[in-house]
Amino acid sequence: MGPSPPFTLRTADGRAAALRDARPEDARGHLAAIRTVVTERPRTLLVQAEELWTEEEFATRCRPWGPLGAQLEVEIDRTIVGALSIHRRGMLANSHVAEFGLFLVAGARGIGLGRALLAVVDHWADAFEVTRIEMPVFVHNERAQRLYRSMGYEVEGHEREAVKFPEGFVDEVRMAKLRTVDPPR
Amino acid sequence: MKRTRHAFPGTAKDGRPILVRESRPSDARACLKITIGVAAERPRTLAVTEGEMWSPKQWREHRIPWCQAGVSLVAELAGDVVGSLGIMRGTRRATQHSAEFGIYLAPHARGLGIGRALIDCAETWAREFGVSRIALGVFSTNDRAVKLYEACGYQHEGVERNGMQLPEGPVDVITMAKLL
Repeated sequence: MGPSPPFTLRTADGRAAALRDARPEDARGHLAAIRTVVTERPRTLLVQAEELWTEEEFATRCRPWGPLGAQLEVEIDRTIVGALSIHRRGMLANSHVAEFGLFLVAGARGIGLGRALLAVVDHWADAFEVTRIEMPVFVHNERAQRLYRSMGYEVEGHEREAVKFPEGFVDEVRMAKLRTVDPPR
Repeated sequence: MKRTRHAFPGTAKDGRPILVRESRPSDARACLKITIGVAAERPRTLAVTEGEMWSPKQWREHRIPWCQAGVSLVAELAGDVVGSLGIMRGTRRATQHSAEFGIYLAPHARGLGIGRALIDCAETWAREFGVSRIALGVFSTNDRAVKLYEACGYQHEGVERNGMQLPEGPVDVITMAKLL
């Protein structure tokens, strides 16, 4: 893996994929992709269709790869099929912590992209000396929990009724991974 | 005497009067003085560290009136401000039913039932605005606060390993919540 995006890889089904910094002109493709995921049931995302960013808002959220976080788009055959956002916390006492969120459209699952995105999260954390990575996942999303566990994340908590959708409450599992920073030589 | 619409009188365990009320801009200096004192205690109970204390102006800008988004409360003991609680609800559609609070009390005002009075008032705010879940994080070293939250009906939901990195070293953060 190079020091910073873009990262390229070959998916398990042989396609070339790119993980690269989000650009304002990705707005349309990003929103089309995430819209297909927020309408799936059971849900896997907190965001609801009514509060998706507009294209203008997306353009202002294109955080470049850096110490405060990253916003990457996943592209296959020039089509956006997923994205990853990383945000570092802002207080002195929790600036060692970052939280991430990701999505992949249904047709881009099961081909190693989720695992590749989690490897990018580790790479970002090591680059910017973040030693704790955390994220919430819906209790019914066992597929995501299995993936996170296989990448070293551990369950740290179970939040009752953490999320409320029109169809009812959902509990969240909090997962986190600790990384060690090599002391400077 | 300035009228405060959201004010809840009570009595401390030692018989002195307490008043929990919506904060006012003029509470800035008293609250910051207590914060600075509490932040200097060891082991720490606050995440805020030296070098990022608010100025009175920043405090006034962050103060939340009693409203849908949250509220900043203060507690008075015999007329002096001795502590504060700030509560804010989630900002996403799916998290607006949930709120999180933080609290601090001057050392001389502990053990008198003032923390519980602040939490009761925060729950009154929550019910008024349809908040059904209240969550918090507390350092695993702060047994006293954990006991208070348990006594107020908050249940343990998890432990964030190395959730905070203090100048003295990492500390785990216990997460707790109460469903109203």
